Amino acid sequence: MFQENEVLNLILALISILMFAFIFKKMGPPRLRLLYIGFIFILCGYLFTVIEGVIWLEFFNLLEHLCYAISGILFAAGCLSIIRHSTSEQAKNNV
Amino acid sequence: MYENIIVGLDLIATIAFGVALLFAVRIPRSIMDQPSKTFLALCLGIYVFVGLSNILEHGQITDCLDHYEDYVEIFFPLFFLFFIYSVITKQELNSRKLAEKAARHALKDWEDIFQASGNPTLILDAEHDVISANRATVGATGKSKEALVGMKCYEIMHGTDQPPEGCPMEKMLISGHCETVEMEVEALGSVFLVSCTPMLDDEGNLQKVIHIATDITESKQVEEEKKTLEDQLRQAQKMEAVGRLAGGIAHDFNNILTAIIGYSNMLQMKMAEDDPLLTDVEQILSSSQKAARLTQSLLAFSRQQIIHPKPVRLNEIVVSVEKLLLRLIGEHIELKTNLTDKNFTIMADSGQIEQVMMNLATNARDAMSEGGMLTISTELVELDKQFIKTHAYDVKPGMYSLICFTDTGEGMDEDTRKRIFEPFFTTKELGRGTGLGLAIIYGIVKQHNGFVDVYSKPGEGTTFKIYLPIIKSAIAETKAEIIPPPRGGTETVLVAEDDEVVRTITKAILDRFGYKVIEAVDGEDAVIRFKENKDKIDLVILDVIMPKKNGKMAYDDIKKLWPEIKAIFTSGYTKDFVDKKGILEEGINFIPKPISANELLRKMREVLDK
Repeated sequence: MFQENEVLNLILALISILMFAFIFKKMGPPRLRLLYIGFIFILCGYLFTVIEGVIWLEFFNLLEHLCYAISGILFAAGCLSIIRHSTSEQAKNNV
Repeated sequence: MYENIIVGLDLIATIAFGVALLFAVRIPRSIMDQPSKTFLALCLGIYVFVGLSNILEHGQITDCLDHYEDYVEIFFPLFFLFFIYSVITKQELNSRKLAEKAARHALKDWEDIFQASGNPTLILDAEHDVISANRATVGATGKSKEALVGMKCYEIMHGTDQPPEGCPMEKMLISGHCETVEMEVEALGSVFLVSCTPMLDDEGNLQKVIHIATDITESKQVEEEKKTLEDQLRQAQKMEAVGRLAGGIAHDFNNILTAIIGYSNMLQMKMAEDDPLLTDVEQILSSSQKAARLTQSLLAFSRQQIIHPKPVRLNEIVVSVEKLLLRLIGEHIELKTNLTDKNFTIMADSGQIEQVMMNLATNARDAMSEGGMLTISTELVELDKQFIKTHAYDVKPGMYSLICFTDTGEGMDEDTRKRIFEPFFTTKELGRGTGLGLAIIYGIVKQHNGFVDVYSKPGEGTTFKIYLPIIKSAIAETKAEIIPPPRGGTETVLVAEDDEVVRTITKAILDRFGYKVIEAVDGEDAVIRFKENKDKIDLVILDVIMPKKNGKMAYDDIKKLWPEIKAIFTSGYTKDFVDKKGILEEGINFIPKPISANELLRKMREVLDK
């Protein structure tokens, strides 16, 4: 059986996606591609958490943790790329 | 095994989120503001906590957190949403600031260009009211920018309370597109090219009008000057062409006159004093003399007559002809002379200058049939390059004497003024004028290296200005020339003349006065005849222009055969003209046609007795 908080997580994540879509359409998406993909992986993790309560517990549990690990790497890479981008921008301005 | 894999993945996730958290904290504020960074840090912190809880739980180390991480996890999507929103808001704010900055720059650039424009420029509304004016407008009108704003454009430009006729703004309001009109702006004292360009909004409604006035006064003046110069050049070329034509006609006519006068002279000599036909011959001679004077006038116009320039004082010439002019113009016209006290000398043929003055006085008399005043004045003027360039005269800059003939007569219009120097052009009724008076003046003045200017308007009289170059040399004393009577001789003369009539009359005259004559029909024939009779011939008379070989070429060939040979050249053209053509050398003996018997005989004796 799946837990209530896991379903709530999934619903909130889906609502946040809808809101992203709305905001992006109105204002244009910021250049944070790696962070978005990381967020998608977290969302997948939420989905697998819910599914594991119904079928193939171990498999979907593994996928869930794998998604979190990948998401963590993507977030780290995303933040690093933001810092690098800012450094190169500063160098350009100094020139 | 399975649990180990899960713990391993959780470990990777925890470390990765931890590293991401460290990086997020170090993101500079210039890239991401504090609220965004805080929300990102909270998102990442949640998963550091979740990962750590999972390690503890799946690694079976402790279950103290008792699935709290599941509840903490709920905040991740919210915080991430806030983070994204915060970033977008900041980004939007930044781009708005950038757009505002760009707009400010663009506005400043536009304002700078608007103000820097050298042309008076206004921005108007659809009611002609000034919204803005640039510095050039302020400078041109002398009004402040504040005073100009709110005024009507036509008030500023034309000082009227209505748009002027042909107003480009009115035209633009009708046509809906840019209109440009050339107009004189009284307020600015110049001629402007005024353009009105509409500025429309997205829906095509008129918002503002850009009114630009470009000062074209200078370019108009240059254009007018150019046109004047072109007119003057065309006029000069026309006069030159007409002069050549007149000279050519005079030349051929002189040949005919030579025959008429010669044969008439012969007849006269042969006739007894009581011969009833003598009067007829005298009539022929009298008419021939008149015709000769006409050709002389044509030659004067075409600058091909013989002049005898000597240093003379202009004032003295004016004084000497003053009485004659008084008689010429009649009592109903007052003559006033206003001579300069400067004593300058010109190189001129006094007789020719007197002729100029007589012709001008005659012209003035005819223009003042109801009476009036003729003023003759002299001046010394300096003509600079600019004056000569402006008036397109073919003369050198320097000091010139100026004779002004001003009458208070009818004057003339521009079309007449342009044509007055043309030979046979006259406005007088039939039989009153030959149309050669002013043409002769033109030719004489040109031959004296001067020029004539005419200023006249209908009803306002006419002023002729004659400019003649002055010289520094002293005036030579002139002695009256004593002309000896003609004498004959017994020498043999070779006469080379292509015109049969002239050749025959020349032979007849020479035969009569005892000379032996050998005739040649052209230059080549002259050389052959000379070869045949070189021991007999004492003198050769050569026409300058002949077929096959001209007079000069024939003379050169003859000189090779006998270097000491004496020669006289004749031509319907003047010696000056022939000299200019480079046909004859300096110091040669020359008689212009029509040749009178006395002149020919005198010249022959002069050459033969040398």
